[in-house]
Amino acid sequence: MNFYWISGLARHRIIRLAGATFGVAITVALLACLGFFLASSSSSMTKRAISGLPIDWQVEAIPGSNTKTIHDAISKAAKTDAIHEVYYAKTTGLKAETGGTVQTTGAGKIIAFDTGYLKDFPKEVRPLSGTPDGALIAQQTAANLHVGPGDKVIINREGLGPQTVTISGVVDLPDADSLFQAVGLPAQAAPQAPPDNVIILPIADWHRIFDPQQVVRPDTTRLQFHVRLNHEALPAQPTKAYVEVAGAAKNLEVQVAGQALVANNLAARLDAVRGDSLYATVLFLFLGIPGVVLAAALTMAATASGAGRRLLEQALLRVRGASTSRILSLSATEAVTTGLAGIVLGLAGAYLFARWGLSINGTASGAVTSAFLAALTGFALALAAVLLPAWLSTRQETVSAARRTVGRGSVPLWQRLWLDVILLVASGLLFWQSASTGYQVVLAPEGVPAASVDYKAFLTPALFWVGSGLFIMRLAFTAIAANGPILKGLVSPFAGRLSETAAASLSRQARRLTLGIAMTALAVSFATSTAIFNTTYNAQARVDAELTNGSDVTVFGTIANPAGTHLEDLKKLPGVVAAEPMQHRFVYVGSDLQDIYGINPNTIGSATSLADAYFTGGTVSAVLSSLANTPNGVLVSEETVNDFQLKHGDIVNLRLMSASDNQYHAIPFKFVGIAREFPTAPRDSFLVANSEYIAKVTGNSADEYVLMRSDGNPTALAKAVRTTLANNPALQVKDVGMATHIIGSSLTAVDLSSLTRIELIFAVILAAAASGLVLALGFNDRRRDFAILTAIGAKPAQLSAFLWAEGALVAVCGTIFGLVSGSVTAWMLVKLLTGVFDPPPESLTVPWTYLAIVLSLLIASVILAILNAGRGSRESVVEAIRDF
Amino acid sequence: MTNDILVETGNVAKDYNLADGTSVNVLIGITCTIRAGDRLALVGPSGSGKSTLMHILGGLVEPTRGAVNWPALGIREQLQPSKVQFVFQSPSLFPALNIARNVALPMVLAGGFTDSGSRAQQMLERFGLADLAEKLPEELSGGQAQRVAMARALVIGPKLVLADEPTGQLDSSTANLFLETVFEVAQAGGTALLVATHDSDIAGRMDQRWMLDRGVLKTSQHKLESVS
Repeated sequence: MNFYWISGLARHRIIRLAGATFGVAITVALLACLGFFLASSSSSMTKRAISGLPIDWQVEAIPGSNTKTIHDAISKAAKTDAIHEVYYAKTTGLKAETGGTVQTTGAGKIIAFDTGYLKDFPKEVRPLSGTPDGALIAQQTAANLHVGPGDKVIINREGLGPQTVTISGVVDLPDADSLFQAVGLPAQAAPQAPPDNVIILPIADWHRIFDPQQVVRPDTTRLQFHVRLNHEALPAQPTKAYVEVAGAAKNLEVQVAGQALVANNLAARLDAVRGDSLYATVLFLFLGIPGVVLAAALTMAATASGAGRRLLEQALLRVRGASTSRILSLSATEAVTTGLAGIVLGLAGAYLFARWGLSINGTASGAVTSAFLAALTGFALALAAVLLPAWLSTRQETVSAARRTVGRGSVPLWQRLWLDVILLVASGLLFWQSASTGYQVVLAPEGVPAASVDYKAFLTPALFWVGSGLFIMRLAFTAIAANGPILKGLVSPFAGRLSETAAASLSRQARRLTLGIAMTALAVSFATSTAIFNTTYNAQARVDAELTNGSDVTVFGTIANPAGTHLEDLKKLPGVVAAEPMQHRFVYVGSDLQDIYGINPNTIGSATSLADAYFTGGTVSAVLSSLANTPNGVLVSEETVNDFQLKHGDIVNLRLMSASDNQYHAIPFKFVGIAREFPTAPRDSFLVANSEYIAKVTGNSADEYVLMRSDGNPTALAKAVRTTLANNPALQVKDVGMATHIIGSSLTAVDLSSLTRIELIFAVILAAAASGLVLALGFNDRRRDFAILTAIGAKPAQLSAFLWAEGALVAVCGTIFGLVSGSVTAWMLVKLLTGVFDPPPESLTVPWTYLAIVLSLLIASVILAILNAGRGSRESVVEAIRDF
Repeated sequence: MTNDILVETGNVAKDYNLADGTSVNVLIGITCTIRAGDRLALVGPSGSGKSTLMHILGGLVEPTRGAVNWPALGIREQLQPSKVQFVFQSPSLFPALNIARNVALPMVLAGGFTDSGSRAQQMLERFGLADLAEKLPEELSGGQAQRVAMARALVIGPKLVLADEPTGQLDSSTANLFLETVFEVAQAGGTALLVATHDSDIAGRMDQRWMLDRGVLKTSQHKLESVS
């Protein structure tokens, strides 16, 4: 019996089966894709975050300590992959005689690696020329001494005579900051620049030359253990990995107390990305879950569209004596069939999409778990959509009630309780609360192991989404059921002289139409909010990149080697729109060492983009004008203003280094404004002042940086700048594309990119399906009604008028409501996820092309549904009328 | 007179193909004529092809073989809504419109009726259904729905009404009263009636009776006495 039933449905009710199957399939596919993505993303998060880290731990032995004890303690403290010894020695200077001239340098460092070091830490040294088997000289040192492979260099030792080595190769030290970092300094200590002069010796040579120095000046040599931990053993979540790594390092410090100091580079990196990883999780919840909810709702709506026919069939079965268990058994067969078909189609689609569309390569177990959970959800959804209504109808419906397809109906409970308004108000209150705390959804204070996510914040968009969906239903229902001018106005262009009748007909179907409008609105809202959020994020990433890099192209120099000396040459390069010098010095604010930037406020805007969001309490022009009008004015970062309780107009004494005696002296500045962000500046604490004033009070007018605006191709301009500055390799040239790449490879950016790709594609499908599928199933369910119209004389054009009026009502109202709801949701998401943006956007960026595609497909699906319903011969009219 | 002939068929047959590949002959060699003002009863056992014949005569279904013409009405596409109307055996009111709008619907579809609302109201009053005007079809009993369907068929003044068991859900006294009204309205509008029925009383009140048996029309000549 069940087999005959389902085969009959397949022959005569294929659209109904296909609709429910599609709903289940799309839910399963979306859920599985998200699962694959989440499994892949979370399993590799720590790995991705630390992949570029050259050295995990640097453990520095205190002179005289037992190195074997330290080595053993390291092995005991954590699972390690490699432990190597690195020897450091100070030199008072280097000397070389080439081409008949003698070049000398200041102090430097001579280092040596033990055997196998470069195999385990290959990123520390990048060979540039020569061979790696002898003394290697750093690129900048080679330039200073004018030496290359085969040349001899004299190393001056502390307290001993010089030694000569022959250079076998020139190398770059990409990780010099870490390699030469001072281990054991407090966190607040000023950053130490790596040495300008470095030579790497074979370990035997180092011992031969510096073992004697170690005896006479033990304070000038040191030994470090460079450690690579076993990354496979670390937790996948950076937050947990941070706690584990920080704990292991502290354990080591206890074990080797008084013998060694630990620099925990790995924990520092994990600490920095903890917030990023938490935001990646937050993004999943904010952007991923609504898609699944929408797909499930679509399945329910799709089955509800055919509910009238289904209830009628059940009623007829009851009339013919079928027992409740028999009816439920038949419904269960339909549910299982649609469920299984939907699961197979959904998983196949998800696999193909994940494999070819997203290039997701997660673990097999993660993928299987995701697929299993998605299948389980799809099966439950099929049961809920098909079997549950059948069960409820057997308990409640009478046969005659089941025959009703229109009905005046009663007002739903949620509408009587004003649940929609309550949800919207609650969402508003939660949003206001989030706003009052500065939208801090993720809290991961630097150096503090505990990190938290304000999951309450998720309720804000969720309540708004559901509330606005219900509110849309209330508005649409009221307008349609009233059969007033709004409905007639909407129907009139499509129904012509039948508009009165069509509007009357639609007003009787307000409940059904409202469901279609709400589904369309939610789908359009989902697509709109996801797309606007993603586009705004990408636009802001470009702003962030420029903020990080300073401008399209920036030349970074130092006070000893300022980029500003090349300003005139740089201005003449082709493709330069503007080039602007900028000072970068260090200044003491109280005991804090901070960055200070010296600018010309009147011209800085020509070479870099400055947004109002960078400043507090005024627009860019107002703040810069205030600075320009106050020669000793200074813009202070928000954090410093709060820390030092500064008030507008206060005189602030800052200690700047004077060129005359290389000592820090207190200089009075006037606090004229707050800067939240500034090109090239760090996020937390910095100052901006007039360059003329800084030059005057320090006696040094050097401009360390040059910011350059290109006419469209920053990469090409950067290349030209590098060529121009080839004779000064100490100057660093960076273009905005490099910063974009770094920002784009952060955990949040990577996750957001994959997640939104899934969301945007499914949003298009859901938006098209929401209106087209619901309409098509509704039309199919009322095939007999349209047959009646045809039988009493409706011409195809007149029948189309009814169909077009209904289609237009659903598509137009759903789209308008959806665009409004989606825009508000996107605005809310951007505000709540402020932490993802750096700096926060001033306005939303609307992806017009994507929205046009979504709306075009939506309209196409509505047109298809209408054309399909309008098809059919007069013979099928008779069949349809008999089909009762 | 040829212009009196509303429908004429010549050797019409209708076959239906079944799912198993075989076909069934529903109508065999039907030749008949309906003239203006005729009152015809179509009788025969269930499954004899009564509904199919009515659908062919009304232009809803095309015959497999043979010819159907509507000399006084025009071509097939012009029959509905103003020239031929149907009253179906199963409920056939448009569920999303109230009764008044349902009755007015043929006039709205035909166009040119500025008074469709009042004419619909008058027709409902004629059939004693005025108090149902604002109700929805699903709020009506089966008998009420059949009477409304007949009112809807007659309101536009068609030349021919084809009614399939229009009194099937009415008690005999209500059926008689209802039929009286139908005859009056049809008479006033010059409408011919072909009523398929199992009720011999109803059939007896018609001018002539066509007997259909296993797809064969036993009597189809005009102005003959009933075969029984």
